[in-house]
Amino acid sequence: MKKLKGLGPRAYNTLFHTHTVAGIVISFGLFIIFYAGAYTLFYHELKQWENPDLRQPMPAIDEVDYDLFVQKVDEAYNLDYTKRVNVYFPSEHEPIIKMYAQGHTSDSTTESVAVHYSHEDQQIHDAKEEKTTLGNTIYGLHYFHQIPFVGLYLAGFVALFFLFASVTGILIHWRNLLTKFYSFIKEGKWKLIWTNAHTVLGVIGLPFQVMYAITGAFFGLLVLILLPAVFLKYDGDVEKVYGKIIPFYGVEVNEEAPASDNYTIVDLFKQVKADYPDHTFTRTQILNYGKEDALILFALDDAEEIHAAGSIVMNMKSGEVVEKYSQFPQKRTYSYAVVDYIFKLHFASFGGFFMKLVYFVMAMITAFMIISGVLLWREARNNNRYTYKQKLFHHRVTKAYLAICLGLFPAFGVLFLANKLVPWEMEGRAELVEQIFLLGWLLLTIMGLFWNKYSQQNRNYLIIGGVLSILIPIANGVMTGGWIWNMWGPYPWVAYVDMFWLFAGLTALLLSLFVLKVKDDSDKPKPPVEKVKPKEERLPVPEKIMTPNPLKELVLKFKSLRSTGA
Amino acid sequence: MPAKAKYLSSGWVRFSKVMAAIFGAYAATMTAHLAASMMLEDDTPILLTSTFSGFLMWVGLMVMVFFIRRAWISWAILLSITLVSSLIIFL
Repeated sequence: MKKLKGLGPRAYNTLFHTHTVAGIVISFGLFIIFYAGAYTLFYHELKQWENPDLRQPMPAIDEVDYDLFVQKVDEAYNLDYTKRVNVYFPSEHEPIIKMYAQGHTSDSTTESVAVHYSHEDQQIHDAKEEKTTLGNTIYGLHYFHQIPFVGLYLAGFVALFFLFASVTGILIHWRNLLTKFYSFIKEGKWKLIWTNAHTVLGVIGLPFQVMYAITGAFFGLLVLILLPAVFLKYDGDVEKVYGKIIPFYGVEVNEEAPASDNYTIVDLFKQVKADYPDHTFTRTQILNYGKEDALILFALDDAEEIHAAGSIVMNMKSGEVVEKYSQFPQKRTYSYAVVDYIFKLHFASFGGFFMKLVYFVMAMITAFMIISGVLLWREARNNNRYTYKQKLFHHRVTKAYLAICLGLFPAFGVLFLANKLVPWEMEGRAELVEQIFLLGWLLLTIMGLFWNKYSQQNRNYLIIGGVLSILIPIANGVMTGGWIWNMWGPYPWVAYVDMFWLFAGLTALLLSLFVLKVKDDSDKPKPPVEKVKPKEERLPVPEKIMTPNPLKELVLKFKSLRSTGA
Repeated sequence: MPAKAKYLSSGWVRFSKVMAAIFGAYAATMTAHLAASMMLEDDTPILLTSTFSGFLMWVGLMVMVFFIRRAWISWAILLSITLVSSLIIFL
């Protein structure tokens, strides 16, 4: 196959260097983002697993009396109807009704209200403090939410430089693009193996990775993009920009509007549902409930198609659709659709469950591509052109990097186990679980720093992670009664999560026992063997035995005379 | 395999290139998008397009800075994009 014409030597080396520097700096952040992100794809699917209270039958969603629910919450919290009342419909993964709204307090301010309503016990549960936030812990880790204030922006810059690394990477690989397209080589020198893994997976994953670099930068650095426009054209009012993306956002209601006998929520819901029978309805948003100018928005989507999302706004008094605030599925304009597309591409909320699986595999391949880049960086520097000190530095960076990244697999085991083992009725258990996870990860990382062989680190983390993974379904069974065979029929997603961990654990153990070969020698560079100089080694000869050398004396005398200038 | 040091710029030139790649490229990207949105009646499509094309252009210019040998040429390109766009915005 013909080689493509690549870059010239100067451009090649310069871009190569920027690729290396950008890549090494972002590498562990990027690995964490992809690894945690791969699990976050199943945020909703994890819900019933992490929260046994959600294991209840799904009510028929258009037969619940939502008005009664809103009135019940109003009695308890004195809702402020001029602010938006958000009601989430029950879904397959969360068969409860959720409400987020604003309530009046004793003084004239408002405070946020979060309640869950279970159809099973007909009770309103305050949801301000959740009992489990496992999904949110992983999701937060995905954009460094645990780092105060700057986490999201750091993640945004990691995404931006990931785009830079992708572009420079493909440019420096250009001349080998065709000839090495299929170089899945698993033999030969380690440097060659990591090079091929890095470039082949980087090229195959390029569309996926570039998509994630751009959409990731969108979420992290949107403020940098909007800031100039907002200040120059919108008088610093970012709400005006949101109003352009979501037409319902800018609607204002009359606080003095008289009360009116409106259509019920269920009536209007049934009407919209008849118009869009194939769509799923996720939530509704109500403005000025019970008043003459009350508006209701129904958000609908279809998890299969990318253009199917929309929102229908209705006047609650007349029961008619308000066209100027609505976004009709398949008929949205570019401006209304583009941000939704970015969300869908990023969260894989199109194409169904199979698309999420593809995303998961691609994210794991990308995580591997990132690791292979670091190992390649180290192997390329493990030669005599580098001093012992430099080599030691490369080794330590690689070791710490692998400890952080590979330690994440057992740390996730710790997180899932902690979610089950911390008592359900305990105060502040969600926070404790997150702390156990972060502390466990730290300990696992520190442990890894004592293993000087990379394959040893890999094997040990696989064994620890494998054992913890197998314990996860057992912990779920013992603590919540959610054994795989019990959950299989009524709540299949609980069983799928357990089966995933069982499979992951067994695979990890098999790999660690039969595939990975750990040699005895260490990857730590050996200090240079110092040549023993016999002269220096000789003990100083006592002075009295020393015989003076007349010639040497003379030379020394001459030198000292010359230096004083005499 | 590691990049050969003899081809790399050093010292102030390197610092200048990094600054151009991050700040110069950002300024050029944002002003170019704003200028484009000024030329249209309804600026919403450009504003929303900039949420992804902004990052592409920013990174594209970053690569350009390192691709061009001399730092001052890169600065000249970036500053002239910024200047021309600013003229369109403010005039």
